[in-house]
Amino acid sequence: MKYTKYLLGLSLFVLGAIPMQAQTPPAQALTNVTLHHADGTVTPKASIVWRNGIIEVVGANITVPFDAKVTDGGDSLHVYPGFLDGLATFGSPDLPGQQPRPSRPGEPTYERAGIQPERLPSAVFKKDDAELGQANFAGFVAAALAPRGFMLPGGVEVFHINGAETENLLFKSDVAVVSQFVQSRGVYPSTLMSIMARFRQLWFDASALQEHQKLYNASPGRYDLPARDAVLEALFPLINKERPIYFVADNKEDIRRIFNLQDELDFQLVLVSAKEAYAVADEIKRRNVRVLASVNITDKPDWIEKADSDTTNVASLSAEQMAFRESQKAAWEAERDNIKNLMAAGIPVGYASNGFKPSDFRKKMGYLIEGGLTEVQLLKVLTTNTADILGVPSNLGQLRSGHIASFAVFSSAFAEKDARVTHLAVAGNIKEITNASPARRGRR
Amino acid sequence: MRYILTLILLLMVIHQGFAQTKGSVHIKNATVITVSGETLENTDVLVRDGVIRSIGANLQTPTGVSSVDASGKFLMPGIIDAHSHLAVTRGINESSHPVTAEVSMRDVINANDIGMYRALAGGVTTIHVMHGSANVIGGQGATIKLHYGETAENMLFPDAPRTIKFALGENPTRVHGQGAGVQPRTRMGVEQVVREYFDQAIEYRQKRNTYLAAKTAFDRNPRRAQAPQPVAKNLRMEVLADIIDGNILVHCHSYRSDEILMLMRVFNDYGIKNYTFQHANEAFKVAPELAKNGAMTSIFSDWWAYKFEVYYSTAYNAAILHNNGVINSINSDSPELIRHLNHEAAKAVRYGGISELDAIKMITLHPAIQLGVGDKVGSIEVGKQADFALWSTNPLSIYAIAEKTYVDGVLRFDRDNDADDMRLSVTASDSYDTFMTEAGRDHEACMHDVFEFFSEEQSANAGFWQQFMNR
Repeated sequence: MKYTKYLLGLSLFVLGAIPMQAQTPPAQALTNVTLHHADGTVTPKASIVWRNGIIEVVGANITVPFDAKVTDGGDSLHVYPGFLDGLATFGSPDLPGQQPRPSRPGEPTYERAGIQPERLPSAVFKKDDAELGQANFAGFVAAALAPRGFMLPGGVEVFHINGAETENLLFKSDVAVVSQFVQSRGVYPSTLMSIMARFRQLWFDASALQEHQKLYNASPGRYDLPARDAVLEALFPLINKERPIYFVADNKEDIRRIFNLQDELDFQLVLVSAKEAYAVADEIKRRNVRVLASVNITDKPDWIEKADSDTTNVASLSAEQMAFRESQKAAWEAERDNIKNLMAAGIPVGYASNGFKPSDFRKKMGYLIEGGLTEVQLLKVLTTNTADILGVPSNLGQLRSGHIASFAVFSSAFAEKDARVTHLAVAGNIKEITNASPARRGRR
Repeated sequence: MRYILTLILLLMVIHQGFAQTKGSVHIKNATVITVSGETLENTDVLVRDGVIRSIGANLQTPTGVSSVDASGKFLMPGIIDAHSHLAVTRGINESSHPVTAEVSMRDVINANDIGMYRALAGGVTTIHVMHGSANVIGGQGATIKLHYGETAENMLFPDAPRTIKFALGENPTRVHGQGAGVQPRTRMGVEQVVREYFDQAIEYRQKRNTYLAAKTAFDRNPRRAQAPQPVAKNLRMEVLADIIDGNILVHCHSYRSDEILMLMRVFNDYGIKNYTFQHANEAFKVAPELAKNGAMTSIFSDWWAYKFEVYYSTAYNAAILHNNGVINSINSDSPELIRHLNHEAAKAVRYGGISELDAIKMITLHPAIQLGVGDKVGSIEVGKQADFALWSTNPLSIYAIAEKTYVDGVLRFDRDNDADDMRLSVTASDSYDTFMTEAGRDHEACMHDVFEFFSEEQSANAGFWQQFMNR
């Protein structure tokens, strides 16, 4: 078994070292592995063949092309569609530190106010972000990226994720614009209520500007020359419902605030993070809103972990403290079961890290499984559901002919406690994932 | 048929969005302080579906309606606090600009604030949630009913008029003039900010209305008319223009008599009526002028000297205003004081000798009038909404305890069923201890968040800022 893995690593290394000579690149094949599809189908003793970044053929009893460089998986490895992250901040510049207050804090520039929907990750990418490697380590092959920021931090673009090379792996632009109830300190809007008001005002300003530009372009002599405004113009596709807003919010009250804005302004909405979305599931379903959920569940309170052995401590608690514990436990379980309950309500749920460290992914994944989310459900969240929400269902998220060859090879079924990613194919480029490498990079 | 069904379903959904829970109850044999009329002994009050249906002796209890034996107890209209900052999430002051009329507390109601439950325990049923006093023209307020346990939307007082906070004097000049180097730096500047923005709003409304009229004409007949060049909707200007048009009630933070006279002059120039001065510690000096202008006041009973502009004050303020014909209320501006506004009203009897009924009006009918809901709540009358509290004895007694508080006929506080921990929302990361210590007297005051707003640059001279009290 161990021997097989070393052999696989060595052959991949050799494969990478062979210079490309033919005009059509040779196929690659990984044979004798167990395939796990997002719909729950498991195919043992199967193979996957890809060429030029695209899966050619996949399944059991397939014919491997004569020119394929074959790697034998040794009958012990498990191949999954690569995981997708529906909104991540990998590669984002850091938030600005303490900034001086402008001379008129009530009228800051867009940038100072954190209103930057025109800012694209491809334009501000920071390629030495250690989280890119950590994401690969957890099995992620692609992510919708957006810069960190405040109320309107930027646009969303889908990238293949492959460590420092990610910068050059932009796959899809014009996916969405991110918004969140986060204020830039010391200037307007500095509170939740003014973010609500500013959001509406931006919408009105952008609507008027778009109308003005249209009129002018149709009859230039009849109208004043309209302004050009990159920020407002970045909102036009939202107003025209050509792209959704990825609105980040966790508590149910904030989600209701977003619904209020949606009722007033009429936009396509994807909820991101949405830890208390279960509490407004009916309304989410009624609106056909999709959710890119967080798995950043609060760490289990110590007293729950110790509940069985900690009887002496419990005896010293007041009735009120005991009641508090019950409420806290219910809250923790509700948070843990958010994704499960949303799926049970028939809501499409994908995954978003949105600042959550990929290195903590497996710990939190354990909570989800403990709460009764099945491996197949979780796989769906991480692959096909996220691909649907990102608008790339024909490209990513499945082990299927014609899809991009982005898959993760695990040492055992991925939800098992000790499972780890041994290899990762990103848009056809397969690499070995070692235990040490991502963590070291992370500490640097 | 299908269309009719769709319409019915649509109406049900719309209705559900604004529905408030309503209850039915039969209060038997209480001393009923009606406020609008005589106090009635051994009297029943019957509530059906949130509305007071009958008041009288020995009423029949309808089937399915619970009854409460109130023998020896006093039924008083629910207390209405015309100045509160309870139940707000993430910011009471948008301190970045001297005029922020576009922001609204309606957007940020925190339906989980346990302060509301504590207020219910003091017999309070409606509060006016206000923006802070950092800005000359602050944000819009929210009049809410304390339906603790419902969503924020379901707490909004149906059909209550819109309100807005203004602020004069030290707070806006300190925050904007001293703090940010922008107008207003002085009381003169405060007046000019109001006038300048009102003038801008008048001009805006004229332009916007002209555009909308041309747009309507164009939409009706695109061949004949030319599409007008858009004038963007401006939320700040819309609200200011609505104030001038009399569609929004102004509640103005103020202390000194000279600034009170100033704002009345400004409002007379712009034709604004039906407004209330909040705090107004020196209002007693200009009580006849207030009465002449129909201006109202909402004051503390005996709280002052927390900063320079509030040194000249008197506990006789309420009585003097009342005796001059000014509609006056007594408010809390505090999550602690709100729990015993009955005591605050009683002080107006002690200092100035007004009648008990007039004192009770200052925490019931008068604040209702100031919030534009005097026809709906504030007294116990047939047809009015069933917001009231059952007290163990005369509510002005220091020994009085609110035993049951009803909002729209729904029992929202019951001393017989009052668990220790009444929080609605416990999160997994909450701790038991923070719950026990939150919401002290200065926790949610008028200048809340302002220090945080400025803290980046001014942490070095924090002492300078913290020497000022919060109101």
